[in-house]
Amino acid sequence: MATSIMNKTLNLAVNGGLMRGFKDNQNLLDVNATFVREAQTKPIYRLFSINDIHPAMMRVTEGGKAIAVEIWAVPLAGIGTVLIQEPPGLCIGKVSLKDGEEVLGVLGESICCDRGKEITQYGGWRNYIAERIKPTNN
Amino acid sequence: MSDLELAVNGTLMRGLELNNNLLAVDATFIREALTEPAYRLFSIDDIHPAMMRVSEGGQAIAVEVWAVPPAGLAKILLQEPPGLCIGKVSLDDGTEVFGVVGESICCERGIEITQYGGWRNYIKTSNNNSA
Repeated sequence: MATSIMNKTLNLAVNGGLMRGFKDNQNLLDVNATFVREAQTKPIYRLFSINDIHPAMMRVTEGGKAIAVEIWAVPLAGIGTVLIQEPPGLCIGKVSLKDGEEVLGVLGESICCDRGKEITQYGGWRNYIAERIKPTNN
Repeated sequence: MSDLELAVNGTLMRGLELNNNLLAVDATFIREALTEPAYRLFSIDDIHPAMMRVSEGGQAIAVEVWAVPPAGLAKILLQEPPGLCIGKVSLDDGTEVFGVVGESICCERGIEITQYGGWRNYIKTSNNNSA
């Protein structure tokens, strides 16, 4: 993280609508954030679909899995701009990745996750969306 | 871009341990405020609190609202204890500002101090009890 600060960007793990090709990705591009890589969290998160509009990810002590995220390099001053445009109930905290790195990441408040549908078993929002639209394609 | 309003409920407040993290990014104190009565507060090892929005059993929690330069927000977050995040917090005057909240995994291992109405009051009361 220290190196990133000197470069004036921070790595942010996003797991939903901010990812490439999704509806809020423009919010990252608008603050001159750049895609770094795909990654997996440590297997300690649950993922919920909020009205099938966006996911909310939550760190847990039990029942967690590795969730697919995208790491974006976000200019320091862009973090607040991205956060203010996030859906209600989402926040930015710290997320542990499978490779041991800790980065900033989007998380859901429990009051938000509690009203969602659990989709942890899909391993990520992109996979959930792909599986969900399959029947209509057939 | 103008400063962002951030509601802090624990050691970032004036006179407490991490207040210098705010001062170091040129944040300025705006006012004391109360949240909507929709939050629970937990003490994490009596080192810092963690606040969580709830659908039941919430109270108004005392916070301080600070004006934070945009680039300072992430710096503050990086220096926060594990399990704390920056999200949006609703105040009792109906405004919504950024605010420090705790992940549930963090709150769950704390002791509930919601009834004190705020970290400052909790600290003061526990100091009196031990004196």
